Amino acid sequence: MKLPDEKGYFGPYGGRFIPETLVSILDELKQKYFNIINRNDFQKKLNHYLRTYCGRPTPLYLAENVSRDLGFKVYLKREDLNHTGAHKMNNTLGQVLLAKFMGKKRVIAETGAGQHGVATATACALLNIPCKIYMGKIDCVRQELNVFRMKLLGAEVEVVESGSQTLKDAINETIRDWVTNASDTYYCLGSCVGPDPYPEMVRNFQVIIGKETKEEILKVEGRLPDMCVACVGGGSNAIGLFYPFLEDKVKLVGVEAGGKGKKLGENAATISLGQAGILHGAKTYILQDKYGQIIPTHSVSAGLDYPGVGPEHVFLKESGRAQYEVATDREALEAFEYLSKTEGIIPALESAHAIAYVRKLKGKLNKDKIVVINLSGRGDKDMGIVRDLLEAKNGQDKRKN
Amino acid sequence: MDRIREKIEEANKNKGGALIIYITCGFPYKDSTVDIVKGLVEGGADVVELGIPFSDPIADGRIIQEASQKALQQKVNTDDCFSTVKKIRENKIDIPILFMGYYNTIFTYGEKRFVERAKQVGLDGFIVPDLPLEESKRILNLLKNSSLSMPFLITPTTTEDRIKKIVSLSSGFIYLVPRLGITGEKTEDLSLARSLVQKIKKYTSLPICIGFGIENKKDVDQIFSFCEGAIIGSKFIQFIEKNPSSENARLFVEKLLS
Ligand SMILES: Cc1ncc(COP(=O)(O)O)c(C=O)c1O
Repeated sequence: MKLPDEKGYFGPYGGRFIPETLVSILDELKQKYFNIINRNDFQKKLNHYLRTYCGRPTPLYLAENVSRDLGFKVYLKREDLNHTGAHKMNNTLGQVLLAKFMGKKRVIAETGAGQHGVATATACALLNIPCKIYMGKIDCVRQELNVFRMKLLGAEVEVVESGSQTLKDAINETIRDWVTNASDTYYCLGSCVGPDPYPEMVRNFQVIIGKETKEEILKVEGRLPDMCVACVGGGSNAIGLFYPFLEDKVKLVGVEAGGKGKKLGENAATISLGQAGILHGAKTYILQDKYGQIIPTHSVSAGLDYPGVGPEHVFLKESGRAQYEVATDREALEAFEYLSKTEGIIPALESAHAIAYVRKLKGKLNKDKIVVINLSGRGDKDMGIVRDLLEAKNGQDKRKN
Repeated sequence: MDRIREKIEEANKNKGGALIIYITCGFPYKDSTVDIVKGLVEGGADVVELGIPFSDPIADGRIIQEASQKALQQKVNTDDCFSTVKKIRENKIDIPILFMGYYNTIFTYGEKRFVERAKQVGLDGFIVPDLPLEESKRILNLLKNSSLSMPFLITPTTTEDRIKKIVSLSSGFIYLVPRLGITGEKTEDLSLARSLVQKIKKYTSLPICIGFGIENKKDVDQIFSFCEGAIIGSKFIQFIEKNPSSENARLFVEKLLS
């Protein structure tokens, strides 16, 4: 069965819960999207940029040292080698090119840590279309360099001071801009969340991750992997990897941000610890109090720090097709150091959550098993945060000794 | 019986239009609302819209966002909103009252439980700004055979086809948004609204009320000249914050209707 259905539902999740003004705007977007992506000139252009600008296909690397250490075969899908350092670029190139084909005059986007903002600003610089990025005030302070980066790329950055001043509020503010300027403005949403058709559209732009993985693993191993693992914030890198394997006998594992603990507010593990609700235009799982107020989340990795999740993941979880686990801040930080030292690859803190989960499988899988981890991004952006955390930890250790 | 519609029609007979005032429940203080509503009635308001505070109000501008935030900081929740309506009724105030609440607060409360509680406390209906008609089937079924009304919104991007569907599902009145955008910013030009009213009137006899960016007596008079009601929110919230008394609420309405 092809999902979502024509109303944008993955089973009971998804749909469109949005102000009336946006209904016909989304109808138009959906119709044009399906029209344009099947056009030859669009496909040709997108593939051209993905290859010559973004650096695709990305390698599938057999992580020798990790495999030796863990006792089974571990492959890394190197999305960190994309231009701007993460899978985000697959989506923004697709959407901004779509905006151009639709004749839109302006692109807007939200950003949490700044990764999606940077990727959007980059695609807009390339395709020569003005863009405005909304970013929560707290995130602007945490990720000051990314604010500079976006400005350097020619984007206007609007500091969001409403609500909790983080990613969810940046999305609210982008939606408000969109409601106001809907006719000439394209909203480039950063993950497989939001109202129909975004979850489907973003997935389809990220599916290239899984397609390349499947093709390459069949070439080098002559068979499918036993397991695919990816971190889950909104869920776009994970669904991109999972989707081509949905009908295969491959275990799919999404890893959420366990943060500091299981209490409400201490983590961002929406699927593992949230309940059904409505956020940013979709019915999905969210982290909320008993009256439906969205609560602030926590994760060491800004890219996973979001109180919602893509509706397709909730569907995969409830139908039992995929499994969702958590990795804590500490486990992610250890995995961050581990991959850096073991393979000479510094992962994004987000991706480190996926690595942390796979490390827990040491001694539990046969040596002929094959696990693919989506290395969704590189860790350059996290140097400051990780340095501070490690210094604090080393300080504590010294005091103990 | 559609109390909201009746009241709006009566106001149109008596004074040429209905005035609807929006106030966030529990703003500026948890116990302010009953007094404010009392004053609104004394001043001559016809319908009251009570906002259920929500953490992520995507259709609202800064003023209502901050009012929501302030109410939430004082731990105002959905049950408090219901008990406020109950208290208003206990004070023998029978003005039609609508909730305006985002869908997640209703969904999380449980739609059925929400509707039951609404009937118990004497609410007259609700507006859900992020629930388009495609997603409203379940809640409309729950409202059947009740006296609760549910006005839907029509905006400048609503197609003619949708207008037909929306008017057939709405009750109470039609909430017309006169421009693109969110609450709070002044609507400078009502000519688009005027032409939308003509379009909508082809398909319904329900009263049409205009809200979003309506600020003063001049706006209200103009709206009364071509449709049945004006809705004021952000301006009232700004006005009432410093002195949330009955007296002050009454003065605000009297000035608009003078
Ligand atoms: C490197 C990286 N991985 C993962 C994510 C999480 O997003 P998603 O779950 O949509 O892949 C982000 C978000 O910023 C990111 O930057």
